[in-house]
Amino acid sequence: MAGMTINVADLFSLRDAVGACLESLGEQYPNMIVCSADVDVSSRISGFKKKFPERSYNVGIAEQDLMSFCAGMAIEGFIPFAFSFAPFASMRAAEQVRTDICYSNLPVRIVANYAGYSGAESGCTHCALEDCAIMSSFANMTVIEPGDPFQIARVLKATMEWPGPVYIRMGKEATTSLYEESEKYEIGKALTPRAGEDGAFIASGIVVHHAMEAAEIVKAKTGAEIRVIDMHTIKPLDKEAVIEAAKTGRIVCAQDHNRIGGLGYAVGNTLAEAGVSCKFKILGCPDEFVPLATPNFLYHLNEYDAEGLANNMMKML
Amino acid sequence: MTDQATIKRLDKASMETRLNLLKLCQQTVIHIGGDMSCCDIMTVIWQYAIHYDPANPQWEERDRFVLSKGHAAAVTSFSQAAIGCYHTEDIYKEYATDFGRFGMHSCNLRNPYVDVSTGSLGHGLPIAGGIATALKAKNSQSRVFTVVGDGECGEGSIWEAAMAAVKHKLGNLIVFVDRNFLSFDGSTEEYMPLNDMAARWRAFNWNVIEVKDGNDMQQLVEAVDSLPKPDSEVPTVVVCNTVKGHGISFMENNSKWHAGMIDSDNYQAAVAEIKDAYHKKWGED
Repeated sequence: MAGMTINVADLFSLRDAVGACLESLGEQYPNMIVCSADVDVSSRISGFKKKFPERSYNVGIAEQDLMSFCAGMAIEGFIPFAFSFAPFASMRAAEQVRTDICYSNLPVRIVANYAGYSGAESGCTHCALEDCAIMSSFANMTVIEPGDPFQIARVLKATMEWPGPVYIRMGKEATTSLYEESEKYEIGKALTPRAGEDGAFIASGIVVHHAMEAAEIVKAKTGAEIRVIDMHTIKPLDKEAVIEAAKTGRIVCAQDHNRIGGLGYAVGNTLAEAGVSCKFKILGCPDEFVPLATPNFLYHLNEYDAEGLANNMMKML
Repeated sequence: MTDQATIKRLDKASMETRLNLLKLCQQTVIHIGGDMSCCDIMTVIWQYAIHYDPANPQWEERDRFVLSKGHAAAVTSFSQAAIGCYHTEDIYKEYATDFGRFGMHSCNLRNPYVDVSTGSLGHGLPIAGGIATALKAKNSQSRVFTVVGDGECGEGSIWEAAMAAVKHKLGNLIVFVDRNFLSFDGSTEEYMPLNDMAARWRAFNWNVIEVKDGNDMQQLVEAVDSLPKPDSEVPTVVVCNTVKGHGISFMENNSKWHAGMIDSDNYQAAVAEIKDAYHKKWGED
């Protein structure tokens, strides 16, 4: 291995799907532009840049300017995709997103890598454990968390016909997809990759994959059939899917996000407002900062890997 | 040399806007100090420089306007009313009322003459940079005018945008800096020194026009006349040295008049002073 160099950009998880999808959308939508704050390479947008140099902008390491710049472009009729890392998009530039983009309901699509613990090896500076809570509280904002490369491609395409701003939180990505190529994808409409009437996992992003494995574990150990709901759209939430899930009597809701203000809170709120009750558990990041670690270690520690999810469901059976 | 009839027309327009501001300031709190400092800048933009159709605020060929110092909404609204965007009376009726079009900061949810809702400082110029970039991409000959406060230049986002504007070759972007040397708390030079404002922009490679007296219409008109063409490649900043509360001696350079209301006695004195200054300069009312 002597003399071998590793390009840091190659160490990121599968974002190539995003790059390929951007290129095809670029052909279809002449008013689509791609902007980034010095993350072209890691976000896999170099292909788009090469193909459409006149529609590619990089404002340097300036996330606040990225968001305001995209607001200005959107005011003039463009559909900007703004690329940044989730902690910076949601916190460094929070006010620009809220005031410059959401206030005027502009169609800016923010694609934010490193959501949840997916960047945990880089420390808490590079983890967005709060982005869903922050972005969901901005009026007009749609919040989406896709889980695998194929789904991301569908999400990007779907946003082209969706009004107003969209925040796409990109956490740790699965390398396989739960869906057939032909699976219909709609923003705001949950997917159910696994049927079941004895309980339900409601999750988003990578945790949907953990839930699929967990459902198999539960079945093997108890025979119970657990439904898996892929709640890829956090806002607007598919309330009907939640209320239907409650009829199974048990919901374990998990997201790679602070337990406060994430998917679990949205689901819990839906149950309470609908006057529906069932056994209910929220799993996610604890309300504390953690030392440098690997994502899988933290998922296990906080019980939203497959094993942890299965154990939590089995406690309810 | 611009003809004196134009200067006189603009001076008179500025006087009328100042009188309108004072009248509004009797009924409600406005940012009267900063409104007065940039009143002449606003007049020269809205009644001399801008390419605009008051009958069609969405006209694609219009120049865009972004009020980066969003608290100068009152002076902007009156300047727009002067060219027919609204009836001046509507501003008194609707200012700070429920769902009204006018208020302390510019909001476009009810007002189509506001291109960008502003109020939080350090946002307007970065958005204006996006708009100017978009206009260039559309091969438009429109300009983007924006007014930035000097205190506002303490926001880091202003300088992020200043860098981006040069990189994106935004010759269609015109920034007026209202250099009145006062922010909410007092002297900018005391709280966060800005020193040589023009030098800062020069260091960022902007085309810099300095207006020694930004409350002098002749100098402002000359600055506008010397603006580069919209298809040029370097953004321009017009650094205007102004006086906060300009035209009213008890308000001038007094940060207590950053925002507030005026009582009847002060109102009478202020109106007299403004009218008197115009009379002295032009020999008529």
